[in-house]
Amino acid sequence: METHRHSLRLTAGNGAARAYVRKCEFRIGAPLTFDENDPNLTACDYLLGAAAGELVTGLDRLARRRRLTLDRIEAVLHAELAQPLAALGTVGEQGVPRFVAIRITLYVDTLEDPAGIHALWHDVLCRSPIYQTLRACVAFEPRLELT
Amino acid sequence: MQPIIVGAVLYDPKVSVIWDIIRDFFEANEVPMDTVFYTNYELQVSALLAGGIEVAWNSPLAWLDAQRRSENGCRAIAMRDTDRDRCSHLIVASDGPIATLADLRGKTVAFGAQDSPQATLIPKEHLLRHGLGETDYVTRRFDLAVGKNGDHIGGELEAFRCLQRQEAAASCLIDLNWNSWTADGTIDPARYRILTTTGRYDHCVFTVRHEFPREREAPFLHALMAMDYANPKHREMMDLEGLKRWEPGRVNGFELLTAACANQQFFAGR
Repeated sequence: METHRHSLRLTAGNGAARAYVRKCEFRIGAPLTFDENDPNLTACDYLLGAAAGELVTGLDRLARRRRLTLDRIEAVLHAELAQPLAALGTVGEQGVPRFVAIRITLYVDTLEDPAGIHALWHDVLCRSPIYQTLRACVAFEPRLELT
Repeated sequence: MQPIIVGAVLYDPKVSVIWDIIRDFFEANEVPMDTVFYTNYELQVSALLAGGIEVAWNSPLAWLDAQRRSENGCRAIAMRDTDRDRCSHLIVASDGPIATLADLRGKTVAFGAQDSPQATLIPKEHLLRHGLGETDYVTRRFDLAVGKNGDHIGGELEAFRCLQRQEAAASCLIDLNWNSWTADGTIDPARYRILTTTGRYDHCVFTVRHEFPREREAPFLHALMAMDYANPKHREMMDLEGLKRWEPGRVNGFELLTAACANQQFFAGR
């Protein structure tokens, strides 16, 4: 089958971008920030949020379709950025800034059979394009914890 | 006015946030500033002397290096109030056997990074002045973030951890860290005490080359000195920078470090 083409349109100005997709739009602040008080979502926030969000919503939706009850899903994501000073253009820094590790743990409250949930999780991973793309270039460790 | 180009060494990417705030402050005071970040002070000093930057936020060691390499061709134009009259402590276990400096003979002393003025060079000079040469004690050094001249607290913290593990009889740290770590619980002041305190020394300093034009220096200093701790809008920025007032630069606070570098041949071969 041919690939599906996914398109966004963006405009930029005043240090931020606005992305338009379908009939939706969202604002993107800096590429990356080290300022805990920066009120704007950065491109890296979106990337990591998308990586986690895909798995969380993917699990929730596939569970519903299979009529499995998940009472609550929470996730925590930790990512490691290598060469962060290179992102700031620091003189003397070697290499390029890149995420070298992404670890995400999903905590799922459920009374369903654990084997069924792990099979569901496996299928979610297989169906998740962001995860499948990123795992090819970064140490991506998704983990499921049943509570 | 063309932007004044200021260099700073980053020991953590979050430090860039402080410089963004400073730059915005200068811009708001109609003194445009561009910042260039460096991974280490040696590169920054090279850039200052080559004219790549006009002002360098230098560590005390970088100040000495700039003077050494330019044959005293630099000027110290400003420093924080907290950069003046610092000291370092050698600390020991309160219930341990070390009662005097002489008791350190033959014992292990934990230091920070090799290029840390406050946690290595000056404490070693202090020991030397009190009759303990390099061979009179065992040096245990924690070379974290070498090149950043001890800006990174990791070396001092690891030195203290070494003391905690009883792998050293004493460890070295700047007074500011002793004050904050005994306040926040990192160091239990009931279990550790100050054995000895070094003489006073000055720390970081804004450095320029002699030929830096006075017509550019004046607005830079004017904007800098306009920071007012009493102004709530300035206070957060000044807290991040760790000062309450900017002071004129002075060069008489580097005697201990100058002697330390000479006696320890720090710049030999550089």
